[in-house]
Amino acid sequence: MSFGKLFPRRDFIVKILCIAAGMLAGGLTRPFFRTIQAQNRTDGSTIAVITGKSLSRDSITSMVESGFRQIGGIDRFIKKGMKVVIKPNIAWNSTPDKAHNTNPDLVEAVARMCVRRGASVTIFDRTVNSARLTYRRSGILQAAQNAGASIEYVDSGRYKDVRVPDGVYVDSLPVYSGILDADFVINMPIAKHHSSSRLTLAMKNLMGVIGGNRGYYHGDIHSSIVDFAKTVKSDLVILDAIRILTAHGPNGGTPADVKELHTIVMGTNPVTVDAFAATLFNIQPASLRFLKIAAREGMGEINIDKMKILRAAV
Amino acid sequence: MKHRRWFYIRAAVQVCCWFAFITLVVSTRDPIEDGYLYGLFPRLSLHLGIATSIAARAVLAAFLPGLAVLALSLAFGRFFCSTVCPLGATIDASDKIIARRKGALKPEIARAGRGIKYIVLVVSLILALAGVQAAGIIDPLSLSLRVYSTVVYPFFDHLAKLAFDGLLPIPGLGAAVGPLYGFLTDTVLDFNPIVFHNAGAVMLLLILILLLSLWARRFWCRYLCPLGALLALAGGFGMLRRTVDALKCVNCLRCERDCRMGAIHDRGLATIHGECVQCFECLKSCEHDAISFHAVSPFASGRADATAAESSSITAVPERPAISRRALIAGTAASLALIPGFRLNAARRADFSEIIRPPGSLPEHEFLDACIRCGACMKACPTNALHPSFLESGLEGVYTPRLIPRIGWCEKNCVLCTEVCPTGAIKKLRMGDKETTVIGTAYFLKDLCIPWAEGRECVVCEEVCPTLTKSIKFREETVPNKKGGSVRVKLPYVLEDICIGCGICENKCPVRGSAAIRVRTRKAEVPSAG
Ligand code: SF4
Ligand code: SF4
Repeated sequence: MSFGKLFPRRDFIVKILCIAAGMLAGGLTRPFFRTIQAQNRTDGSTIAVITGKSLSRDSITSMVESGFRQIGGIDRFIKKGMKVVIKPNIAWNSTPDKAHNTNPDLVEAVARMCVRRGASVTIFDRTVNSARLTYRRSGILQAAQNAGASIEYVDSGRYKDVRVPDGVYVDSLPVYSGILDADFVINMPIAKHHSSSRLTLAMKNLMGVIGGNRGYYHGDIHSSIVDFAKTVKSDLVILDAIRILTAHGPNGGTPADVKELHTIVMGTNPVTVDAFAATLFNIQPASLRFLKIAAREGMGEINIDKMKILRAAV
Repeated sequence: MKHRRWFYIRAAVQVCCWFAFITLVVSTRDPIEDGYLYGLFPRLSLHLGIATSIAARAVLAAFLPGLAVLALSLAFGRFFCSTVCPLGATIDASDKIIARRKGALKPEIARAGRGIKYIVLVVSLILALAGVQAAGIIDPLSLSLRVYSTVVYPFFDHLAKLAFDGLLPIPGLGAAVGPLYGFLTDTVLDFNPIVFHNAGAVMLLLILILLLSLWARRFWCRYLCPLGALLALAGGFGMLRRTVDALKCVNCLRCERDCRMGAIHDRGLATIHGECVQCFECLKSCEHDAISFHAVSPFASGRADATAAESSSITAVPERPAISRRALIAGTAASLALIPGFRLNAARRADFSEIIRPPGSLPEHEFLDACIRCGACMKACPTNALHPSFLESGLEGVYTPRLIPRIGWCEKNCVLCTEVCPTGAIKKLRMGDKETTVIGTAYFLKDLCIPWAEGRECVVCEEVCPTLTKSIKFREETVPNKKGGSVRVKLPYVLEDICIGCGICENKCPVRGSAAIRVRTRKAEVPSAG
């Protein structure tokens, strides 16, 4: 073995190392920068977890008030004259006790606080069941009226194609223009079991403002959910775990499948909120594939130990 | 001329009735607390009442309003046709365009033709006796409710939507009409345009009826309408009658020319009472105020005030309509010919039926007898699931409702169609019972179903299934994928005992064209051994 033969080989190795280092650096910085972006916008790793005593409207209202206090007061988010969109989960023609749709008293309490701040509030979701019946039976119609907010029936002609930044599964998605035109989006999911994604929480809730072929997204539901969250911003997430559905979701279930937790989770990053919400079902956040992908993509903290959790009981 | 205000009052009443009818049609949708009102108009038809009671072998109290109409006709004659009947109003309106001023029919034919409607009535009732509900197809009230619900309403709904689609994007204007659009969708419009299968076949009958006016005004009412025949029989005894003062009459024949029913003859002096619909057009036409309407003994002659001198010149015309023997014989013969025609119906063999009926429907045979084809259920359905069938369930099933899941599914927590059905062809369901009411059973077409055929995951049908513990389940298996390899994937299958056949799976199935999961009619009951 002679030195002369080794030399070019060493050169070769160095080259490879350089390339590897470059790749590594690139690989590290990409998510790193995006994490920073996400954090700048939201300070996402802080969440508030509020537990109340009962299902009563008063209890729910004080939960919301306490939640806003924990995360810095409503004034931090809602300004006078803002166009606020509340996106609950109201997909199913069911009464609130079934835990298929976001609790109407919760939606009402949030909407009322925004209206009192001088914002104009619109509430909608793309229902799966008949829209008119669903809005009524879910209690959302009444909630909106009580709070002085307006409802909108999703119009199939009003979707705009939006590019997905660094899409995992798709490059662009049709997004409902009602949500694109909003100044502030409050994502209000209900936490429940789901047949394909295991749980449906804040990130999956955004599917309700995405048009197009539902079946296509179900082809890889976890990546799709990540793409939804990349495309549609949630300025604030208020997750309803007042009643949760633990099996036969998203729209079935016997009374035994419904658990009363009297809990809401508030935060500005849907990924973090979802990770915490998974623990309410005794599910490891990292075992949910959509959360794992989201963490890999640097979209938010899913490690419970690294979150700042502000707890309160009212 | 002096009394022409009666004409305008009558016309105003007609317009009001028409609006009431339209209001009921438009508001036949969620929310509905009590469905009675939405079937009010068909309930006014005694023809439907008698035929349906005969066909269903039960006296249907639903049609009491029809008896009230009959009672009123004994007092006021055939007023119903010129005021309440929505088909009459529609014909009157279109006659302004279609009808020619001068009757194109020869007078003898025009006279003899009046008998046809009695034949139609007889045929309709005999068919009912044989268990064939033809009455609903031709009765003016179920016909108009059906046409307005499944053709006219959707037409104007689409039209409005098109207009707003054009207006809303215009800057400035959009903001102004936006709230109006919101208001209209909240009250009358459907924000998802609805469309009915076989709407053309529904419309065709109305178009034919309207075109008949090319030969005479209100051709349908004069010669064909079975309800008109019934009311003519009663109205012949009506006490409110047209009378002519022969001393004032100059025989100008204006009234005879203007009468929409051709009820005036004998140089303006005589009236066929069962044909006069009390529209008061003649009051408007007469420039010499020779005509008046007042109470006359029901048994008086048709020429109340004709002078003795005139009476000698009266030709033999039937002044009070009656079913002639010939009409009876012709009607019976026609029915005998029609009965087997209607009965030739594959759907009668329950095991062949492909028709999915609304939830709560009577068993197929009884349903065919009781349904008056009014379309109220179709208009009420919030998912646009119910459609008029045409020949799919045979001649006998023409215009009966069927559920087409690919267009709309049977919504959970909805019993609207059962609420509005006027005859009980769809039995009222309580919300709780609805959850377990089986209307069909789903099955997979594995050549189309994405996981089975392509080895890709898809759970849409399971996701939307509304049964409490889900009628669609999965088993994980290894299947060949499209590239020739193999993948592990969750394969769906149906639990037939839980499935209620609501069809939302078929509706939402993402496969293009016809779905990979479909609903067929409920399984025929297997007779249990012993
Ligand atoms: S019960 Fe079903 S078929 Fe009847 S109106 Fe409701 S959704 Fe339509
Ligand atoms: S089933 Fe429908 S079409 Fe038939 S009578 Fe009842 S409401 Fe009318």
